[in-house]
Amino acid sequence: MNEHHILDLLDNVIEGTLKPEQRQFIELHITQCPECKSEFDRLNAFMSKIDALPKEIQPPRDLWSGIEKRITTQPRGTIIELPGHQYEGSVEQQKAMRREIQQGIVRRSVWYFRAAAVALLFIISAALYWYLTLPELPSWQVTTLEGKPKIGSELLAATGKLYIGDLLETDNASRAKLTVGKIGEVELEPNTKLRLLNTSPTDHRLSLDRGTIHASVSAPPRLFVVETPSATAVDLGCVYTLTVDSLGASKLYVITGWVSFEHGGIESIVPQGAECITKPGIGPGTPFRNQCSSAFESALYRFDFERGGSAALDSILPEAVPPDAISLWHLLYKTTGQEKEKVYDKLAFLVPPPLGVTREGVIQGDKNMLKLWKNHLNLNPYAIVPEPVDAVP
Amino acid sequence: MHSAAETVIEERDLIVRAASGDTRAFEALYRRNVGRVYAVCLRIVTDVPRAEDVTQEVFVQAWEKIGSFRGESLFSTWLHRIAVNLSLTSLRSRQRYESRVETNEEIETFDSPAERHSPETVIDLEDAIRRLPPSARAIFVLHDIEGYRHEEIAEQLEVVVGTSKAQLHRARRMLRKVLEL
Repeated sequence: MNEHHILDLLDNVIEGTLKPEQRQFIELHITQCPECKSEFDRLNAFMSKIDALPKEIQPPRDLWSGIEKRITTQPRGTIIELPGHQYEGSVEQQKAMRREIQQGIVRRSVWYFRAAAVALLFIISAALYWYLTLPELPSWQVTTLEGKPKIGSELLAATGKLYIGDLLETDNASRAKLTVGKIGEVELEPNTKLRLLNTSPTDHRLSLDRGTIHASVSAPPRLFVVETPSATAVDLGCVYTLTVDSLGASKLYVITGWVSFEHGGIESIVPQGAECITKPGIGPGTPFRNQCSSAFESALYRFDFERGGSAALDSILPEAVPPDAISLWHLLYKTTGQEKEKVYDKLAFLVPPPLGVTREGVIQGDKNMLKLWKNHLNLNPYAIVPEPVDAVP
Repeated sequence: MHSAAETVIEERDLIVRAASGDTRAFEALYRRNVGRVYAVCLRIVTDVPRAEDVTQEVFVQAWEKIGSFRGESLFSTWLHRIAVNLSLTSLRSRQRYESRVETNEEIETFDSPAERHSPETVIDLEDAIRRLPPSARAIFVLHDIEGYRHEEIAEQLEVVVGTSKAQLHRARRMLRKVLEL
C-alpha cells in the first residue's frame, strides 16, 4: 500500500488539467495503488452517469400560449411585469384593495414624474460630458507593405486605421500588415479582403472573405477570432496561415501553437504542424499533419468532403503512422459501428490507449475516455504545453 | 431529413422573420429550443412552477432582444446564455428571500440522515442534483452538464475561479456519496 494517495488529484485527471509529467506520475501511481485505482474507476463511472443525463427536458405543459399572450399584448421595449399574485377575500375587501392600488398608482405617478425630470436632466448632462470627452474609437493600425491596399474605397498611404466595420482589401500587387491591439499582427497577402468585426479587451474578431492571412498572436486562448464563410478559426495562442478561396472554402496551416476550427457544433483542434480544410455547408474536415503521405491526405479529403465512406477509410487506415494519431482521434467522432471499430483498432495499435480507456467505452462514445486519450495524445491545448504530435512513440 | 447547413439557413430565416414581428416564426424557434432552455432552468432553480416562469421569461426577453442578435454564435447558444442569466437571478432572489424569512429548510441539509436513501432505493440522479446546496448546484450544472469552463462560471457568478473549482469538487463529492460511487 502506498503511503501517499492522490485522491484529490483525480478530478484534475478527468478534466485534463494536469501537465504531462503530473499525469504520467498519477497513471503510474494508479497502477500500483489499489485504493486510488478503485477511486479512479468510481469517479469515471460517476462522470459517465453525468454525461448520460439528457440535454433537453420538455416542460410538463405547453408554455407557448403564455409567451404569445405577453409578446402580442405589449410592444417591444416595454417593461414586462412578471405574473402577479391572486388576491382572495370578499367583494368589499377586493374593492377596497383596488381603490388602494389605484390611489397608490396616482401617488407613484406624481413621484415618477418628478424622478423622470431629474433623471432626464442628469442624462442630458452626462451625454454632454460624454460627448465632450469622447475617446477615440477602437481601431487597428494598418501598414502598407507593398503597393496600395484600400480601406473601404480609399487608397491607403504608408499607414492608416481600420475601424470596426471597415473593409481592408489588397489587389494583386499589394500587401498590408494589421497590428491587432497589443496581442499580435496579421499580414495580408495579395488579393485578400477582410473586415474588422470587433476589437475590445475581451474579443478581437475579423471576417476573412477571401485571400490569405498570416496571423501571429500571443494572447490568452479565444481572444482572437477569424470568421470565414465556412468555419470560425479560434486562436488558442499561435502562429498560423489561413486561406479562403472564391467558393468560401478555407485551409488552415498552424505553424506554432493551436487553433480551434469550429462550425455548427463541430470542432477540430489543429495543433502545430497540422492542416485543416473546411467547406461551406459542411464545416471543418479532419485535421492532418503537414508531413503526412499524399495518399493519406487525399483519402481523408474523399472521406470528409466526397462521401468516401468505408472505401476512403480503408485507404486512410493502412497509410496511418503514429504521428497521424491526431487524425484518427478526430475520426472516432466521425464514424460509427464497424468503421469506428476499425479506427479504434488502428489508433490503439499506433498509440496504445492510457489506463482507464477501453475499446468498448470508446466505441460507445464515452466522453471521458475520449478526453483521456486526447490528453494522452497531447491534443488538449488547455491542459498542457503544446508539443509536436511527432513526439508520440 | 435536413442537413446541418439547411437547418442553420432555415433558423436564420426564422430569426429574421421573428425580428420583424412574425410571432409564428418565433413560435417555431420556441418549439426548437424550449427543451434545452427548460432543462437548464429546472436544474438551476429546481422547482417546476419557477422553472416554467423563468422559461417563459427567457423567451419573452429573447423576443424583446432578437433584433440585437448578431448571429456571431448559434441562436441556441445565445438563448442558453439568457436562460442561465435569468435562472441565476431567480436563484439569487430566492436565496435573498430565504435568508430574510429564515425558513427551516436549512435543517434538511444534503447530508441529513433522514434524507439518505437506503441501499435498496433507486436513487434518481436528477433528484440528487436538485438537493445540492444552491451555489454548488449552479456550478455543477454549468460545468459538468452544460460544459461551461471555470473561468466563465466565475465571471457569471462573480466569484473567483478557485471558488468555482472548490464548489464543483464539493458537489461531486456529495453526489457520489448519495449514488454510492
